[in-house]
Amino acid sequence: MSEAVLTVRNLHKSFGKAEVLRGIDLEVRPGETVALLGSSGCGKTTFLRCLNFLEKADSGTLAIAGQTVHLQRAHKKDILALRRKTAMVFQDYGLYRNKTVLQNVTEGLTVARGVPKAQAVTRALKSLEQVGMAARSEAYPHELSGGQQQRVGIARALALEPAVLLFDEPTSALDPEKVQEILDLIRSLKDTPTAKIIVTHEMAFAYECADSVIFMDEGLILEEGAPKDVFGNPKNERTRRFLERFTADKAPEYFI
Amino acid sequence: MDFAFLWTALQAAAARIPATLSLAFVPFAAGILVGLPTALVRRSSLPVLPNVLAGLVALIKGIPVVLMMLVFFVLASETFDGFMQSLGLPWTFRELDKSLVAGAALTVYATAAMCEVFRGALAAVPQSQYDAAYAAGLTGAQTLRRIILPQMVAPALPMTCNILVALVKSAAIASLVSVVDVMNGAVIAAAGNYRFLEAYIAAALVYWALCLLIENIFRLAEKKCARRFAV
Repeated sequence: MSEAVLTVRNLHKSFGKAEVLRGIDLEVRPGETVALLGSSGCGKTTFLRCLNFLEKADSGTLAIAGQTVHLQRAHKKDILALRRKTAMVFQDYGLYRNKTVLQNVTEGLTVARGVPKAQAVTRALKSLEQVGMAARSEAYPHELSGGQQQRVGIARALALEPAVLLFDEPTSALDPEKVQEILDLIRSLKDTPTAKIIVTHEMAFAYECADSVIFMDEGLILEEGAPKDVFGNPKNERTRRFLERFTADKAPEYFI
Repeated sequence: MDFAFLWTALQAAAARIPATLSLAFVPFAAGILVGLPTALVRRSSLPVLPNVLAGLVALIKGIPVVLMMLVFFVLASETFDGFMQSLGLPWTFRELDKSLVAGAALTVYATAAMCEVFRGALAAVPQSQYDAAYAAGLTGAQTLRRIILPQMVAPALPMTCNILVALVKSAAIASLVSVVDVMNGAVIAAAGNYRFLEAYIAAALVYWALCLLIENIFRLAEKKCARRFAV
Protein backbone atom coordinates (compact mmCIF):
# COMPACT_ATOMS: atom_id res chain seq x y z
CA MET A 1 0.00 0.00 0.00
CA SER A 2 1.36 3.40 -1.00
CA GLU A 3 2.39 6.04 1.51
CA ALA A 4 -0.11 8.62 2.74
CA VAL A 5 -0.28 11.86 0.73
CA LEU A 6 -2.07 13.61 3.59
CA THR A 7 -1.49 12.98 7.26
CA VAL A 8 -3.20 14.81 10.10
CA ARG A 9 -2.18 14.25 13.71
CA ASN A 10 -4.09 15.41 16.77
CA LEU A 11 -5.71 18.45 15.17
CA HIS A 12 -7.47 20.81 17.59
CA LYS A 13 -9.55 23.87 16.81
CA SER A 14 -11.60 26.16 19.00
CA PHE A 15 -13.85 29.09 18.17
CA GLY A 16 -13.57 31.17 21.33
CA LYS A 17 -14.48 28.82 24.17
CA ALA A 18 -16.18 26.26 21.95
CA GLU A 19 -13.81 23.44 21.03
CA VAL A 20 -15.08 22.25 17.66
CA LEU A 21 -12.29 19.82 16.76
CA ARG A 22 -10.93 17.76 19.63
CA GLY A 23 -8.02 15.79 18.25
CA ILE A 24 -8.49 14.55 14.71
CA ASP A 25 -6.18 12.00 13.11
CA LEU A 26 -6.42 11.11 9.46
CA GLU A 27 -4.36 9.47 6.75
CA VAL A 28 -5.27 9.59 3.09
CA ARG A 29 -3.38 7.79 0.35
CA PRO A 30 -2.97 8.98 -3.25
CA GLY A 31 -6.06 8.30 -5.35
CA GLU A 32 -8.14 7.44 -2.31
CA THR A 33 -11.64 8.88 -1.87
CA VAL A 34 -12.63 9.67 1.70
CA ALA A 35 -16.18 10.67 2.61
CA LEU A 36 -16.63 12.78 5.74
CA LEU A 37 -20.09 12.31 7.24
CA GLY A 38 -21.80 13.70 10.29
CA SER A 39 -24.64 15.93 11.37
CA SER A 40 -24.49 19.68 10.84
CA GLY A 41 -22.20 21.33 13.37
CA CYS A 42 -20.13 18.21 14.00
CA GLY A 43 -17.01 19.98 12.73
CA LYS A 44 -16.51 18.23 9.40
CA THR A 45 -16.50 21.39 7.29
CA THR A 46 -14.24 23.16 9.81
CA PHE A 47 -11.89 20.19 9.66
CA LEU A 48 -11.80 20.34 5.86
CA ARG A 49 -11.13 24.08 5.97
CA CYS A 50 -8.27 23.52 8.40
CA LEU A 51 -6.58 21.35 5.77
CA ASN A 52 -6.05 24.35 3.46
CA PHE A 53 -5.85 26.94 6.25
CA LEU A 54 -9.13 28.69 5.47
CA GLU A 55 -9.47 28.08 9.20
CA LYS A 56 -6.36 28.15 11.34
CA ALA A 57 -6.17 25.09 13.54
CA ASP A 58 -4.86 25.66 17.07
CA SER A 59 -2.57 22.66 17.29
CA GLY A 60 -1.59 19.40 15.66
CA THR A 61 0.50 18.53 12.63
CA LEU A 62 -0.42 18.42 8.98
CA ALA A 63 1.63 16.81 6.23
CA ILE A 64 0.71 17.06 2.57
CA ALA A 65 2.83 15.51 -0.18
CA GLY A 66 6.02 15.47 1.81
CA GLN A 67 5.71 18.83 3.57
CA THR A 68 4.97 18.82 7.29
CA VAL A 69 3.92 21.76 9.45
CA HIS A 70 3.11 22.16 13.10
CA LEU A 71 -0.23 23.89 12.96
CA GLN A 72 0.27 26.13 15.99
CA ARG A 73 3.24 27.78 14.33
CA ALA A 74 2.53 27.61 10.62
CA HIS A 75 4.16 30.50 8.76
CA LYS A 76 2.69 32.38 5.82
CA LYS A 77 5.17 30.71 3.49
CA ASP A 78 4.29 27.19 4.71
CA ILE A 79 0.60 27.95 4.43
CA LEU A 80 0.96 29.18 0.87
CA ALA A 81 3.09 26.18 -0.12
CA LEU A 82 0.63 23.71 1.41
CA ARG A 83 -2.36 25.45 -0.13
CA ARG A 84 -0.74 25.09 -3.53
CA LYS A 85 -0.71 21.31 -3.09
CA THR A 86 -4.48 21.34 -2.58
CA ALA A 87 -7.59 22.60 -4.32
CA MET A 88 -11.11 23.06 -3.03
CA VAL A 89 -14.63 22.78 -4.41
CA PHE A 90 -17.13 24.88 -2.48
CA GLN A 91 -20.74 24.44 -1.51
CA ASP A 92 -21.67 27.81 -3.07
CA TYR A 93 -19.24 27.30 -6.01
CA GLY A 94 -17.27 30.48 -5.16
CA LEU A 95 -16.45 31.32 -8.77
CA TYR A 96 -14.71 34.68 -9.13
CA ARG A 97 -17.57 36.91 -10.21
CA ASN A 98 -15.34 39.34 -12.10
CA LYS A 99 -13.74 36.65 -14.24
CA THR A 100 -14.91 34.50 -17.12
CA VAL A 101 -15.15 30.73 -16.84
CA LEU A 102 -11.77 30.34 -18.52
CA GLN A 103 -10.15 33.02 -16.33
CA ASN A 104 -11.59 31.34 -13.25
CA VAL A 105 -9.70 28.20 -14.15
CA THR A 106 -6.43 29.82 -15.28
CA GLU A 107 -6.18 32.24 -12.32
CA GLY A 108 -4.71 29.75 -9.85
CA LEU A 109 -2.35 28.40 -12.52
CA THR A 110 -0.87 31.65 -13.81
CA VAL A 111 -1.01 33.79 -10.67
CA ALA A 112 -0.38 31.30 -7.87
CA ARG A 113 1.75 28.70 -9.66
CA GLY A 114 3.51 30.74 -12.33
CA VAL A 115 2.34 28.55 -15.21
CA PRO A 116 2.85 30.39 -18.54
CA LYS A 117 -0.39 31.80 -19.91
CA ALA A 118 -0.62 29.63 -23.06
CA GLN A 119 0.04 26.46 -21.11
CA ALA A 120 -2.50 27.48 -18.46
CA VAL A 121 -5.17 28.03 -21.10
CA THR A 122 -4.51 24.60 -22.59
CA ARG A 123 -4.78 22.94 -19.18
CA ALA A 124 -7.88 24.96 -18.32
CA LEU A 125 -9.65 24.03 -21.55
CA LYS A 126 -8.79 20.38 -20.96
CA SER A 127 -10.37 20.52 -17.49
CA LEU A 128 -13.39 22.39 -18.80
CA GLU A 129 -13.74 19.74 -21.52
CA GLN A 130 -13.66 17.07 -18.83
CA VAL A 131 -16.59 18.65 -16.98
CA GLY A 132 -18.48 19.52 -20.18
CA MET A 133 -18.13 23.30 -19.85
CA ALA A 134 -15.57 24.12 -22.56
CA ALA A 135 -18.29 25.65 -24.75
CA ARG A 136 -19.05 28.27 -22.08
CA SER A 137 -15.46 29.31 -21.42
CA GLU A 138 -16.16 32.99 -22.23
CA ALA A 139 -19.28 33.21 -20.02
CA TYR A 140 -19.34 35.02 -16.67
CA PRO A 141 -20.48 33.04 -13.60
CA HIS A 142 -23.77 34.93 -13.30
CA GLU A 143 -24.74 33.69 -16.76
CA LEU A 144 -24.54 30.05 -15.62
CA SER A 145 -26.92 27.83 -13.66
CA GLY A 146 -25.88 26.43 -10.28
CA GLY A 147 -25.02 23.04 -11.74
CA GLN A 148 -22.92 24.64 -14.47
CA GLN A 149 -21.14 26.85 -11.93
CA GLN A 150 -20.26 23.81 -9.85
CA ARG A 151 -18.89 22.06 -12.95
CA VAL A 152 -16.62 25.06 -13.48
CA GLY A 153 -15.73 24.96 -9.78
CA ILE A 154 -14.63 21.36 -10.22
CA ALA A 155 -12.71 22.15 -13.41
CA ARG A 156 -10.96 25.00 -11.60
CA ALA A 157 -9.83 22.58 -8.90
CA LEU A 158 -8.84 19.81 -11.33
CA ALA A 159 -6.71 22.11 -13.50
CA LEU A 160 -4.47 22.78 -10.50
CA GLU A 161 -3.61 19.05 -10.47
CA PRO A 162 -3.53 19.08 -6.66
CA ALA A 163 -2.20 16.29 -4.49
CA VAL A 164 -5.36 16.55 -2.40
CA LEU A 165 -8.76 17.69 -3.64
CA LEU A 166 -11.15 18.98 -0.99
CA PHE A 167 -14.91 18.98 -1.59
CA ASP A 168 -17.00 20.97 0.86
CA GLU A 169 -20.59 19.77 0.44
CA PRO A 170 -20.33 20.17 -3.33
CA THR A 171 -24.01 19.33 -3.99
CA SER A 172 -25.77 20.95 -1.03
CA ALA A 173 -26.84 24.05 -2.99
CA LEU A 174 -28.17 22.14 -6.03
CA ASP A 175 -31.58 20.77 -7.01
CA PRO A 176 -31.95 16.95 -6.89
CA GLU A 177 -31.44 16.49 -10.61
CA LYS A 178 -28.23 18.52 -10.64
CA VAL A 179 -27.03 16.74 -7.49
CA GLN A 180 -26.92 13.51 -9.47
CA GLU A 181 -25.07 15.17 -12.34
CA ILE A 182 -22.39 16.57 -10.09
CA LEU A 183 -22.05 13.33 -8.13
CA ASP A 184 -21.60 11.44 -11.40
CA LEU A 185 -18.92 13.91 -12.35
CA ILE A 186 -17.10 13.43 -9.03
CA ARG A 187 -17.50 9.68 -9.42
CA SER A 188 -15.77 9.90 -12.79
CA LEU A 189 -12.66 11.23 -11.01
CA LYS A 190 -12.35 8.09 -8.96
CA ASP A 191 -9.37 6.66 -10.76
CA THR A 192 -7.27 9.82 -10.83
CA PRO A 193 -4.11 9.92 -8.68
CA THR A 194 -5.46 12.85 -6.65
CA ALA A 195 -6.64 12.08 -3.13
CA LYS A 196 -10.21 13.27 -2.58
CA ILE A 197 -11.80 14.26 0.71
CA ILE A 198 -15.51 14.91 0.42
CA VAL A 199 -17.73 16.42 3.08
CA THR A 200 -21.21 15.34 2.09
CA HIS A 201 -24.72 14.47 3.18
CA GLU A 202 -25.18 12.20 0.17
CA MET A 203 -25.12 8.84 1.92
CA ALA A 204 -25.72 6.72 -1.16
CA PHE A 205 -22.84 8.45 -2.88
CA ALA A 206 -20.53 7.93 0.10
CA TYR A 207 -21.51 4.29 0.23
CA GLU A 208 -20.93 3.62 -3.45
CA CYS A 209 -18.05 5.87 -4.23
CA ALA A 210 -15.82 6.30 -1.18
CA ASP A 211 -12.91 4.01 -0.37
CA SER A 212 -13.27 4.95 3.25
CA VAL A 213 -15.98 6.64 5.26
CA ILE A 214 -15.44 8.77 8.34
CA PHE A 215 -18.22 9.58 10.75
CA MET A 216 -17.66 12.65 12.89
CA ASP A 217 -19.58 13.87 15.92
CA GLU A 218 -18.88 16.73 18.31
CA GLY A 219 -15.40 17.32 16.98
CA LEU A 220 -14.22 13.71 17.08
CA ILE A 221 -13.98 10.87 14.60
CA LEU A 222 -16.36 8.23 15.96
CA GLU A 223 -16.08 5.73 13.23
CA GLU A 224 -13.81 5.09 10.29
CA GLY A 225 -13.59 2.31 7.78
CA ALA A 226 -14.75 0.83 4.52
CA PRO A 227 -18.28 1.97 3.57
CA LYS A 228 -19.78 -1.47 3.92
CA ASP A 229 -18.45 -1.77 7.47
CA VAL A 230 -19.46 1.71 8.65
CA PHE A 231 -22.88 1.55 7.00
CA GLY A 232 -23.50 -2.16 7.49
CA ASN A 233 -22.25 -2.62 10.99
CA PRO A 234 -21.68 0.67 12.81
CA LYS A 235 -19.96 0.03 16.13
CA ASN A 236 -20.99 3.27 17.75
CA GLU A 237 -24.50 4.01 18.96
CA ARG A 238 -24.36 7.61 17.68
CA THR A 239 -23.28 6.44 14.20
CA ARG A 240 -26.06 3.86 14.19
CA ARG A 241 -28.66 6.51 15.00
CA PHE A 242 -27.32 8.92 12.37
CA LEU A 243 -27.26 6.27 9.67
CA GLU A 244 -30.54 4.65 10.74
CA ARG A 245 -32.77 6.62 8.42
CA PHE A 246 -30.51 6.08 5.49
CA THR A 247 -29.91 2.40 6.09
CA ALA A 248 -33.62 1.78 6.71
CA ASP A 249 -34.39 3.52 3.40
CA LYS A 250 -31.75 1.83 1.38
CA ALA A 251 -31.37 -1.45 3.17
CA PRO A 252 -33.14 -3.52 0.50
CA GLU A 253 -30.78 -2.15 -2.15
CA TYR A 254 -27.52 -2.32 -0.35
CA PHE A 255 -27.56 -4.63 2.60
CA ILE A 256 -29.35 -7.78 1.64
CA MET B 1 -35.27 89.67 -14.20
CA ASP B 2 -32.36 91.11 -16.12
CA PHE B 3 -31.66 88.42 -18.71
CA ALA B 4 -28.77 90.31 -20.26
CA PHE B 5 -27.04 90.40 -16.89
CA LEU B 6 -27.97 86.78 -16.22
CA TRP B 7 -25.99 85.93 -19.36
CA THR B 8 -23.06 88.05 -18.17
CA ALA B 9 -23.12 86.40 -14.74
CA LEU B 10 -23.38 82.99 -16.35
CA GLN B 11 -20.21 83.68 -18.32
CA ALA B 12 -18.44 84.97 -15.23
CA ALA B 13 -19.47 81.84 -13.30
CA ALA B 14 -18.55 79.47 -16.13
CA ALA B 15 -15.11 81.06 -16.35
CA ARG B 16 -14.48 79.77 -12.82
CA ILE B 17 -15.42 76.14 -13.58
CA PRO B 18 -11.73 75.10 -13.51
CA ALA B 19 -11.39 76.50 -9.96
CA THR B 20 -14.47 74.64 -8.76
CA LEU B 21 -13.52 71.42 -10.50
CA SER B 22 -9.99 71.41 -9.10
CA LEU B 23 -11.44 72.13 -5.64
CA ALA B 24 -13.65 69.06 -6.10
CA PHE B 25 -11.42 66.65 -8.00
CA VAL B 26 -8.14 67.08 -6.13
CA PRO B 27 -9.78 66.28 -2.75
CA PHE B 28 -11.77 63.54 -4.50
CA ALA B 29 -8.61 61.89 -5.82
CA ALA B 30 -6.89 62.27 -2.45
CA GLY B 31 -10.02 60.87 -0.79
CA ILE B 32 -9.80 57.74 -2.94
CA LEU B 33 -6.05 57.34 -2.38
CA VAL B 34 -6.32 57.64 1.41
CA GLY B 35 -9.88 56.34 1.86
CA LEU B 36 -9.24 52.96 0.25
CA PRO B 37 -6.31 51.91 2.47
CA THR B 38 -8.19 53.33 5.45
CA ALA B 39 -11.19 51.12 4.65
CA LEU B 40 -8.90 48.11 4.20
CA VAL B 41 -7.17 48.70 7.54
CA ARG B 42 -10.53 49.12 9.24
CA ARG B 43 -11.58 45.72 7.92
CA SER B 44 -8.30 44.11 8.99
CA SER B 45 -7.62 42.32 12.25
CA LEU B 46 -4.75 44.65 13.22
CA PRO B 47 -4.73 45.79 16.85
CA VAL B 48 -5.99 49.28 17.83
CA LEU B 49 -5.53 50.98 14.43
CA PRO B 50 -8.96 49.99 12.99
CA ASN B 51 -10.68 51.47 16.04
CA VAL B 52 -8.65 54.67 15.90
CA LEU B 53 -9.52 55.14 12.23
CA ALA B 54 -13.19 54.35 12.87
CA GLY B 55 -13.21 57.02 15.59
CA LEU B 56 -11.55 59.58 13.30
CA VAL B 57 -14.02 58.91 10.49
CA ALA B 58 -16.96 59.21 12.89
CA LEU B 59 -15.54 62.50 14.19
CA ILE B 60 -15.09 63.97 10.70
CA LYS B 61 -18.52 62.81 9.53
CA GLY B 62 -20.13 64.71 12.39
CA ILE B 63 -18.62 68.10 11.49
CA PRO B 64 -20.20 70.33 8.78
CA VAL B 65 -17.78 70.98 5.91
CA VAL B 66 -18.26 74.72 6.26
CA LEU B 67 -17.17 74.56 9.90
CA MET B 68 -14.13 72.46 9.04
CA MET B 69 -13.11 74.94 6.36
CA LEU B 70 -13.46 77.94 8.67
CA VAL B 71 -11.47 76.18 11.39
CA PHE B 72 -8.74 75.34 8.88
CA PHE B 73 -8.77 78.97 7.74
CA VAL B 74 -8.49 80.39 11.27
CA LEU B 75 -5.78 77.90 12.21
CA ALA B 76 -3.84 78.69 9.06
CA SER B 77 -4.17 82.45 9.53
CA GLU B 78 -2.86 82.18 13.11
CA THR B 79 -0.04 79.71 12.64
CA PHE B 80 1.10 79.87 9.00
CA ASP B 81 3.38 82.92 9.23
CA GLY B 82 5.12 81.79 12.41
CA PHE B 83 5.57 78.29 11.05
CA MET B 84 7.10 79.53 7.80
CA GLN B 85 9.38 81.91 9.71
CA SER B 86 10.62 79.08 11.91
CA LEU B 87 11.44 77.14 8.74
CA GLY B 88 13.20 80.20 7.33
CA LEU B 89 10.81 80.38 4.37
CA PRO B 90 9.62 83.72 3.00
CA TRP B 91 5.96 82.76 2.39
CA THR B 92 3.18 84.57 4.26
CA PHE B 93 -0.46 83.77 4.85
CA ARG B 94 -1.54 86.88 2.95
CA GLU B 95 0.06 85.56 -0.23
CA LEU B 96 -1.05 81.99 0.39
CA ASP B 97 -3.47 80.63 -2.21
CA LYS B 98 -6.58 80.21 -0.02
CA SER B 99 -7.88 77.43 -2.26
CA LEU B 100 -5.18 75.28 -0.63
CA VAL B 101 -6.86 75.83 2.74
CA ALA B 102 -10.28 75.11 1.26
CA GLY B 103 -8.87 72.08 -0.56
CA ALA B 104 -7.36 70.71 2.65
CA ALA B 105 -10.73 70.88 4.43
CA LEU B 106 -12.51 69.27 1.48
CA THR B 107 -9.83 66.55 1.37
CA VAL B 108 -10.46 65.62 4.99
CA TYR B 109 -14.17 65.42 4.26
CA ALA B 110 -13.64 63.41 1.03
CA THR B 111 -11.31 60.94 2.75
CA ALA B 112 -13.83 60.11 5.45
CA ALA B 113 -16.64 59.89 2.92
CA MET B 114 -14.72 57.65 0.49
CA CYS B 115 -13.57 55.45 3.35
CA GLU B 116 -17.22 54.77 4.14
CA VAL B 117 -17.98 54.12 0.46
CA PHE B 118 -15.17 51.57 0.21
CA ARG B 119 -16.18 49.97 3.49
CA GLY B 120 -19.64 49.37 2.02
CA ALA B 121 -18.17 48.07 -1.22
CA LEU B 122 -15.85 45.71 0.67
CA ALA B 123 -18.79 44.33 2.61
CA ALA B 124 -20.57 43.70 -0.70
CA VAL B 125 -17.91 41.14 -1.71
CA PRO B 126 -18.82 37.81 -0.10
CA GLN B 127 -16.34 35.84 2.00
CA SER B 128 -16.55 32.99 -0.51
CA GLN B 129 -14.52 35.09 -2.97
CA TYR B 130 -11.64 35.33 -0.50
CA ASP B 131 -11.93 31.61 0.33
CA ALA B 132 -11.81 30.61 -3.33
CA ALA B 133 -8.77 32.79 -4.03
CA TYR B 134 -6.85 31.65 -0.93
CA ALA B 135 -7.71 28.01 -1.62
CA ALA B 136 -6.27 28.42 -5.14
CA GLY B 137 -3.01 29.57 -3.54
CA LEU B 138 -3.23 33.30 -4.24
CA THR B 139 -1.47 35.56 -1.74
CA GLY B 140 -3.38 38.20 0.20
CA ALA B 141 -2.13 40.96 -2.11
CA GLN B 142 -2.99 38.99 -5.26
CA THR B 143 -6.45 38.24 -3.90
CA LEU B 144 -7.05 41.89 -3.14
CA ARG B 145 -5.78 43.20 -6.46
CA ARG B 146 -7.17 40.58 -8.84
CA ILE B 147 -10.37 39.39 -7.16
CA ILE B 148 -11.63 41.77 -4.47
CA LEU B 149 -10.85 45.29 -5.76
CA PRO B 150 -12.35 44.68 -9.22
CA GLN B 151 -15.53 43.46 -7.55
CA MET B 152 -15.72 46.59 -5.39
CA VAL B 153 -16.03 48.91 -8.39
CA ALA B 154 -19.66 48.20 -9.21
CA PRO B 155 -21.02 48.50 -5.66
CA ALA B 156 -18.90 51.61 -5.02
CA LEU B 157 -19.94 53.57 -8.12
CA PRO B 158 -23.35 54.97 -7.07
CA MET B 159 -22.12 56.31 -3.73
CA THR B 160 -18.86 57.55 -5.26
CA CYS B 161 -20.92 59.61 -7.69
CA ASN B 162 -22.87 61.05 -4.74
CA ILE B 163 -19.66 62.03 -2.97
CA LEU B 164 -18.20 63.69 -6.07
CA VAL B 165 -21.39 65.68 -6.67
CA ALA B 166 -21.42 66.67 -3.01
CA LEU B 167 -17.80 67.81 -3.34
CA VAL B 168 -18.55 69.97 -6.39
CA LYS B 169 -21.35 71.65 -4.46
CA SER B 170 -19.33 71.89 -1.23
CA ALA B 171 -16.57 73.61 -3.18
CA ALA B 172 -18.92 76.63 -3.22
CA ILE B 173 -18.16 77.06 0.48
CA ALA B 174 -14.62 77.98 -0.53
CA SER B 175 -16.06 81.37 -1.52
CA LEU B 176 -16.26 82.01 2.25
CA VAL B 177 -12.47 81.96 2.46
CA SER B 178 -12.18 84.31 -0.55
CA VAL B 179 -11.50 81.66 -3.19
CA VAL B 180 -12.94 82.73 -6.54
CA ASP B 181 -14.88 79.70 -7.72
CA VAL B 182 -18.10 79.40 -9.73
CA MET B 183 -20.14 80.83 -6.86
CA ASN B 184 -17.81 83.74 -6.14
CA GLY B 185 -17.31 84.43 -9.84
CA ALA B 186 -21.03 85.04 -10.27
CA VAL B 187 -21.34 87.07 -7.05
CA ILE B 188 -18.40 89.32 -7.97
CA ALA B 189 -20.05 90.02 -11.33
CA ALA B 190 -23.07 91.35 -9.43
CA ALA B 191 -21.02 93.52 -7.09
CA GLY B 192 -21.56 96.60 -9.31
CA ASN B 193 -25.29 96.38 -9.90
CA TYR B 194 -26.54 94.38 -6.89
CA ARG B 195 -28.40 91.97 -9.18
CA PHE B 196 -27.60 89.07 -6.84
CA LEU B 197 -30.66 87.01 -7.74
CA GLU B 198 -29.46 86.76 -11.35
CA ALA B 199 -25.95 85.96 -10.12
CA TYR B 200 -27.21 83.17 -7.86
CA ILE B 201 -29.36 81.74 -10.62
CA ALA B 202 -26.36 81.83 -12.96
CA ALA B 203 -24.21 79.98 -10.40
CA ALA B 204 -27.00 77.45 -9.82
CA LEU B 205 -27.25 76.77 -13.56
CA VAL B 206 -23.51 76.11 -13.79
CA TYR B 207 -23.53 73.76 -10.76
CA TRP B 208 -26.57 72.02 -12.13
CA ALA B 209 -24.89 71.43 -15.50
CA LEU B 210 -21.68 70.17 -13.85
CA CYS B 211 -23.53 67.73 -11.60
CA LEU B 212 -25.70 66.49 -14.44
CA LEU B 213 -22.59 65.80 -16.48
CA ILE B 214 -20.92 63.90 -13.63
CA GLU B 215 -24.03 61.84 -12.95
CA ASN B 216 -24.33 60.86 -16.58
CA ILE B 217 -20.70 59.82 -16.78
CA PHE B 218 -21.20 57.62 -13.71
CA ARG B 219 -24.41 56.20 -15.13
CA LEU B 220 -22.49 55.10 -18.22
CA ALA B 221 -19.79 53.53 -16.06
CA GLU B 222 -22.41 51.70 -14.01
CA LYS B 223 -24.01 50.34 -17.17
CA LYS B 224 -20.66 49.14 -18.44
CA CYS B 225 -19.97 47.37 -15.14
CA ALA B 226 -23.39 45.74 -15.13
CA ARG B 227 -22.91 44.45 -18.66
CA ARG B 228 -19.61 42.85 -17.82
CA PHE B 229 -20.59 41.10 -14.64
CA ALA B 230 -23.69 41.26 -12.53
CA VAL B 231 -23.03 41.63 -8.84
